[in-house]
Amino acid sequence: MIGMILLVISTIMAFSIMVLPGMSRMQTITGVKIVESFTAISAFLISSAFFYLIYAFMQSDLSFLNVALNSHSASEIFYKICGVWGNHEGSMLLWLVLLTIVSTVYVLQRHLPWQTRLGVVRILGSISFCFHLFILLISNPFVQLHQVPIQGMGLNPLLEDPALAIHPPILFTGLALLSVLYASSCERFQRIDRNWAQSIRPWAMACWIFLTLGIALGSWWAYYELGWGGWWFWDPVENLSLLPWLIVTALLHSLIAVEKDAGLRLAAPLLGMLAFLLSLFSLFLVRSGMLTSVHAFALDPYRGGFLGAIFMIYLLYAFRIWMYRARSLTHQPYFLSREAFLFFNLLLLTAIMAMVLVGTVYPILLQQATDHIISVGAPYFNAATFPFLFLMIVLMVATPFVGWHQHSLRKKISYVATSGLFLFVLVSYWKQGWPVIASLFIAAAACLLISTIIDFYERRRQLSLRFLSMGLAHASVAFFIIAAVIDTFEKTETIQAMHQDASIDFQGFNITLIGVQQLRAPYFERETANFSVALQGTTFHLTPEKRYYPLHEMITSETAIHRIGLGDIYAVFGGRGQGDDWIVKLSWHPVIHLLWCAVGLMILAGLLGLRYSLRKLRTMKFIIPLALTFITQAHADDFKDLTTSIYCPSCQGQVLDESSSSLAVEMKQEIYRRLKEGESVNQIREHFVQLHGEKILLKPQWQPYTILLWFAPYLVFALLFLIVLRRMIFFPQQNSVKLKK
Amino acid sequence: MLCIACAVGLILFAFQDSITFFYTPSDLMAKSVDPQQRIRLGGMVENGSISREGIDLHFTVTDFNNSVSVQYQGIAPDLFREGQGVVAEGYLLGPGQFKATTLLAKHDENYMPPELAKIQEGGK
Repeated sequence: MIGMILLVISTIMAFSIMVLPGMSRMQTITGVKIVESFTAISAFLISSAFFYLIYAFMQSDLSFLNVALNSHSASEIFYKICGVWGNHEGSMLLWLVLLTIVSTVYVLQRHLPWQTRLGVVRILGSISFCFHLFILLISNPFVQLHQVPIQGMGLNPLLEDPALAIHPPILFTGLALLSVLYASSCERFQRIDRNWAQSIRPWAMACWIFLTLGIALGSWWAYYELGWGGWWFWDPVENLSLLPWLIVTALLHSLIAVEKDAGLRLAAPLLGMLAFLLSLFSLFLVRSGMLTSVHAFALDPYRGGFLGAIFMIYLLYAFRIWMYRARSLTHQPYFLSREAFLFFNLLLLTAIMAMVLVGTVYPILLQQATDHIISVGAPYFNAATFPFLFLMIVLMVATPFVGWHQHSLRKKISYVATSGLFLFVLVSYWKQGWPVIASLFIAAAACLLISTIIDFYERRRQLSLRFLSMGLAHASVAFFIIAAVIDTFEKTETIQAMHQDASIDFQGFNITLIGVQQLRAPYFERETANFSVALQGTTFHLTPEKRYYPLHEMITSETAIHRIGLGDIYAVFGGRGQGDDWIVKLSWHPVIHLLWCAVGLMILAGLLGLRYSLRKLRTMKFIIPLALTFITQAHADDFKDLTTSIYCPSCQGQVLDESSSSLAVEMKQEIYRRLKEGESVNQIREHFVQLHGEKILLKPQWQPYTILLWFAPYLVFALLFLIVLRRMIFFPQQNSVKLKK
Repeated sequence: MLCIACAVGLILFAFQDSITFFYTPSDLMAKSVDPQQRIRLGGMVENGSISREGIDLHFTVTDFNNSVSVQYQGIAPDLFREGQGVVAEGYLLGPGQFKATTLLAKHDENYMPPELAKIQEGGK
């Protein structure tokens, strides 16, 4: 009961946060304070609801349907708590908690102008409200059972794991931060400048860190839990979580260009919006049950419909904002300049994103539309993404050797290029068994390392935090690629049928099966195989096991892993074979720990970058919008008309309305003065044309080609959504969730 | 524009070899499939059909109309057992003979891949 009440009140709060900032009476300092407190109260309420749910889980209060489905009274307390977000309803509540907390933090940034904060928190409030409704109406974790069951069903055994326990909260924090990026990009779309870039950078950086960590945890868990020894499967949900990550990486890089006044002022906010939209889209695909995946939840048309609707709302809103700026910016970067390279990098990341999106969504579309069932797997994704990845590495290698606002390429790059070629030949010769692409990537990664080291050396006198962050991040990419290539091509495995006391030799290890024990625990039974492993004098034990969970009728394997230097020896127990034999799979991963270290370094680089951008924030000066009072509404309209159709001569491609440079301010004051004196719009325009020439006027916005371009993607998405909706409404037999009595 | 063209070209090129089609045993009987093509075979594991020889696993996949015998080397996924759904990815060795390189089975009681749900509906 308490949970429901809290939820309802919080929904009302969220509604007011969405609506209040729009009211003119609220457009004051006190209005902002009211909105701030509402945001904080909403966060507090929904967090209380969440803690109440946790309490219900801890007490194993089986009157709640959610607790009954996902918890067992004999579970350890840690897993009882994790059960809260190990299911759909609980995880949505967690997401909402994080969203409201993030919104509160945002609105309390007192160094930002209150107008900005109000505009952004309004959008955040609307997102919060949509999800409040979703939870209240469709995915309510506080639904109660009339007949209280005797025992809960227990958490899905696959989820009983520390890494998997923190993976959702971290990923959801990243997603919550994505909504800030969206809201800020939408609010500021017309007036992107250095200030915006500097203020949004800490948020983008924090978001990136959480997303990287979340994805890495998921990968790491898959590696040690699933028994295949792989760390990336191009699983649909994995892919969908990668998409926002790619776009936020692109956003971070484009912010650099915006800060240096080197263009990308349209691309940056678009990326900010795109990242969030992708996460909404993934939420829709995953939670509606349309995906076949380890992550999939049960099919439910209401969930799918609601989430799909939320996605469409924010997609349409983003489009509407984008359409208002349907004109081209006049910034033309030089080809061999840093800003151009950043732009290419952005294009490549977006291309990779598009490839992965198409590969993930295509089977679903095809199946919904035609009944053909296909699967798109690693061969496609590898073929589609590797060329772009390679080009990106080339760009990263070359970037230290090009400059800002100029067309130049320093000669030192030839050293790097020749050493790269030399390495390529060397590696191809040494590792005859590897395909060309492997040696190619190793050579490229090595070039990247060399290039980063050269950059470090050149800047050794003035190493800044910013540069350290970048250098470390790029170096970690290089290490990651080297580790990934070596792991893919040098890992070995063998499957053996062994009886007790049998012994085999594998990769220099001598492995003996000592015995298999069977044990009973409160809600599972297990078979443990005990292996003794000897390697050049040292011995250790590997004890993989198989577990049987009667409540879920599920079997899981626990792998046994032992680290040797940078590598892992890995054993999976396959149960009984023929007769007295036991089946076991042993694998050797030579440099897997280099991979994890590389990811760790990447996150460290992110933290350094975050610290840098936060520090910079303190030295910023914000420009408050020009406050002019007009005598008549007609004047105000004319002013708006003029300032949106005349370019600022000293800014690149910004009209007067968007620019905050001193010349723009002067011109705006001039326009104001002339309007007051009674000059007509055309007269004022003529005046400026005489001063600066024809080029100061804006060309007409709408041309047939641009209209088509803007509407086409919208039509495609609408089509996708309609096909899916048709499936869900007219073919309901796929949509029942079966409960065990 | 050029980038988009390249991207589209790359997608089409990558798609050619890398889409895996899904077949039920009846589909396999009805359509002819190139032995070189990697396909997915889905259905139920026939009761009493699982046998092991060393590390080789043999079983039969059925959709209650037709069956295909499958051979697989390795550890079967958790939840692989008789009377349950399975999706095997691999190559056709001959009529009614399939060599699996990967096996996918149900994940838990409430979750069933859409492909298998159809077969189960058809079988009941």
